[in-house]
Amino acid sequence: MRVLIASVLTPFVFGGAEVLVQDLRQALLQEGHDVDLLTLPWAWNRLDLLIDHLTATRLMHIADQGPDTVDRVVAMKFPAYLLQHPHKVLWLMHQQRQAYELWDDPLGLSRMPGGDAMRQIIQHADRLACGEIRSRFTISANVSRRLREQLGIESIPMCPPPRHVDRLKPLAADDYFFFPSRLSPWKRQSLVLEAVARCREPVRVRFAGFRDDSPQLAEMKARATELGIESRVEWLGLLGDDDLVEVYGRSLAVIFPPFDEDYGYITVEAMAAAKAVITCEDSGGPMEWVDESTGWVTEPEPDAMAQALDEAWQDRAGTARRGEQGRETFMERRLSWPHIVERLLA
Amino acid sequence: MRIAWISPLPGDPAASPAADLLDGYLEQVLPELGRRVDLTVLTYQESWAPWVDETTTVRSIAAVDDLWSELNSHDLCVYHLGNDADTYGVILELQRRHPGLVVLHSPSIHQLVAAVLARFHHEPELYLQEMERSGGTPARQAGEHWLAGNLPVGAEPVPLISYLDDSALAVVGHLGPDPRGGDDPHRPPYVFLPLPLADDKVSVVDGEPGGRHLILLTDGEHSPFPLLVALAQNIVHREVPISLATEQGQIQSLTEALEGLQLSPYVRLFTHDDETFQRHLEQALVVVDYRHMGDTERLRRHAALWRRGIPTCGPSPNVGAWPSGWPLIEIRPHHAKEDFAGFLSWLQLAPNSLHHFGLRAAEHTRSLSPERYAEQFVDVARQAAANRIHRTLITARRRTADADPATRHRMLEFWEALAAPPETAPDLESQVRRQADGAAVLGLKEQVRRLRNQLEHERRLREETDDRLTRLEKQMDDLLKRRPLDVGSNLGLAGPTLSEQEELVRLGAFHLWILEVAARFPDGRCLDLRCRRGIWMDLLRQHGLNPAGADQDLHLVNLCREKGFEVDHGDGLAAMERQAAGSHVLISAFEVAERVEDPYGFESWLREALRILRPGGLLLLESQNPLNLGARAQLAQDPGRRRQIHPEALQAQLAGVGFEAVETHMLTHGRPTQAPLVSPKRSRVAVPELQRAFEILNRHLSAAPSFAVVGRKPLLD
Repeated sequence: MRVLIASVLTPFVFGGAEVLVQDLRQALLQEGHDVDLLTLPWAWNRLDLLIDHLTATRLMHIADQGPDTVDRVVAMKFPAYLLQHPHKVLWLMHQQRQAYELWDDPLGLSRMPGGDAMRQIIQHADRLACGEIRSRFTISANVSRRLREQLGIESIPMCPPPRHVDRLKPLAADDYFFFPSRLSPWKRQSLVLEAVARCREPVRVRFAGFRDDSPQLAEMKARATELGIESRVEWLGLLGDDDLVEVYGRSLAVIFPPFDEDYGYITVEAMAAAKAVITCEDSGGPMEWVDESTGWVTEPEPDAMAQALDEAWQDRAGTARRGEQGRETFMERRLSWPHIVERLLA
Repeated sequence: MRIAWISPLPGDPAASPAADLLDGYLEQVLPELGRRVDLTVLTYQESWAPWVDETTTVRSIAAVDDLWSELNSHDLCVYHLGNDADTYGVILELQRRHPGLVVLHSPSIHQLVAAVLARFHHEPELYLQEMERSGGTPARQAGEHWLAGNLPVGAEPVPLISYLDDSALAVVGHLGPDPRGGDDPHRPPYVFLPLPLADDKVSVVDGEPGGRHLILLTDGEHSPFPLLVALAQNIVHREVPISLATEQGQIQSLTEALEGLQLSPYVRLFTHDDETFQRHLEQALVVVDYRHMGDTERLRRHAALWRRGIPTCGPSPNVGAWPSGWPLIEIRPHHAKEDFAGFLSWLQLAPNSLHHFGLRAAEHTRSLSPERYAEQFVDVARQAAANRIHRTLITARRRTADADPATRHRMLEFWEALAAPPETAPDLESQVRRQADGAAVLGLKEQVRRLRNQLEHERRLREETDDRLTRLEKQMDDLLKRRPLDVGSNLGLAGPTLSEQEELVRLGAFHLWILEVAARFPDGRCLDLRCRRGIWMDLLRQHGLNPAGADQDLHLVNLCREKGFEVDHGDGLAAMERQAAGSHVLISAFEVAERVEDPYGFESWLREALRILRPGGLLLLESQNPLNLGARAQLAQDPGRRRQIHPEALQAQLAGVGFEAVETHMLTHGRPTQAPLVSPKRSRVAVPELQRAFEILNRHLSAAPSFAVVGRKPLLD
């Protein structure tokens, strides 16, 4: 089958969305399909450009017959799913969140001139596009929940397996928690610092997944110093694949308390490595996976998180048990690319 | 509804005098609006008159942390615009970036737009382009004169309200109907709302109007001499007392003029604040206000007189734009003598009609209450907020005016859909509902099947009468005498060719499946392999489905094509291979399975059927039943039938390739199956071997002549 993956492009930005597109492409190739990528430039924060981009996207008809035929279009981000093809499938990473739950965020549309009109237009476009797509999948239950609650549109969650999943395994545990994620207020590294400062146990945390020149790094280090915990936190920066597998494997547990994450590869990676996960009740994606049997779900408050960290640190056997349960949960879910490909192309 | 009201406010000495003109307006309107909507006033000033705080919530924009967030937290922004750039320039800029409802206090914003573009942005060319867009080349040339300082204020050729076309959601004007001219439906709607007049600003005179005095109000700006000349030429001055008020500096020259025109005995001259004159004003028959003033002020002054039942005369640069029927008699400054002479003739010839004009004035101004204004304003505001997407798209439409017609048509199609998307997407819920409908049909089908079986059973019992027993025993005797058994005719099986009526009866057995598919997938595509004369496709089409077919007999293919069906000539597998995955809701194949010689080949056939079915779609196979002796004889008769398939084998094969809910149904096609040749219990033959032989023979004779296997493509996996 000839498959076109349609997504959008923010020039010079490479993150989880781009990784997912690449992984899907690889999976389709492995299943013997022809694959190509269509990435559309997308400007969402200017009213005049917004209309132009939506219109340009909508005017694109992808051939479904003739020599350049495309058998299936898999659209993954707004507004790529507006383009026209009779066999269009949605596998949604997330909606244009600035028009929805991040409306009031510092980068939300409420902070832009004409934001009210842009929000309304984006929501209308979502209704229009999702309404014409019959096969609607999302990358997580959280994304499906938002689609249902915000637009009344049902969809089927279908989680992608993380990279390195076959290599992740538990190793002899060292004395540290692991928090792999880029530095961002949404990922809440600062919450973890505040929590560590409140712990009764000599808790240690290794942070990774960010560039050494990340602007937030100095701020984080300064805060750790202010809290007097600089000797109990380590800033590992970006890790190579081997190191990442190693650090995951030797951790006591993994901390991942973001705010309203779409999916959160980290949760699944941690569970694949048989590590308990410490997350927050408003973390979104991780809540699909984590409960008391596989980790800790706390309020997004330093005291509550400190209590969970202390418990995980003190009760090593219990923590390991939750990690094992997490791995079982992960195995039961059977995340597999062939399965995803089959459903997308069904 | 939450409204942000962006406006200059009275009371700040640093603010433009324009703000003071708003004094009466805001004082009347804000409290009324505040009672109807959630209102916040935002201003660029740092201080304002104390009464504003008592009326509503006021914030200085300088004190707002995040302006866009503040504006976006309201359902609508209302922007006040006048012609003064120092006061309104920044508000004009704001509304260009964050569209809202514009309230115009002046019929022209030419000076404002010119100053913002040419002076603030240093883009005189943009100003000239705007002039050209609004009024063509002459307007552009006038703009050049304006920039060069060669045009006086008030002589601008176009009001430049078109500058709001790309950003305003709607425009409210206070000074008459749409001043933009033309009839462009893509412009923001313009709504004329007359300025309100609170009761405490003027005293309403109820009852019969009709004072005695003809009042003339003049100043040093507009020369009153044309009016005096007209007055001297009409004898009305001898019949109506005339009072003329002017500024102190004009008294001398006007005294001389009245003497020169021999009007001194008839016209009394006053200053404006003279007490006697004020008494005369109270008893005015009509007031001719010939002073120079802005349009807003003029309207307010006239309206105050109208409310007392006094009609007025006067000039206005935009008097032509005032609604017809208003109690204002027009006097154009450049035609003052002629216009006033015409009015005097009217007054002389039909003085009573002026009374009626006065009544209309009173009636009209009574409608100008702040409550009425606020009600109308809120209506306009709601419509403007609801119109937001529509207006935004119209702006886009302007930018794409040069697109070729076909592309433009597609854009418009998209925008129309975008402006009004489906309220709820056809979502999984409706799919589930359709599945539930399908399940209901299935349940019904099961009930019907059971009832039919029961009826069949009872019918069989009834037929087992002695007569039948006798006949059957005779047959048995014949068998015992080794007479050949004519199984084909005896069992009433289909011959090599069936009549159309027979086929319809036969296909009727599948009716419930058609109902189910049609309920779940209206207009769904169906494919009938070995479609013969298209009778099955007729049935499908009658139920709103969209059938096509394939057959190897060219004659039959042509028959079907004549009936309007798309039918491939050739092999069914090849026909399926040409179809897109998930494209069909029903695939049917009657007497096909036994014609595919290679069981493995038939598995490929099934896989292909599974591929082109959409999830939930049905595969329907019908085959002659080899367990029935008569059918087996038919199989042997037809060389096209390569093999015999046991019903259970076919069922297992469907399940094996991935179909779910696979069912087998034995089909009698409405005909009696062969009753047992003999009931062993009633048999007079006692030989056990023979009884066993009869049992076997009975089983194979009374088995259904054909069977159907139906499988469903899984919904999700």
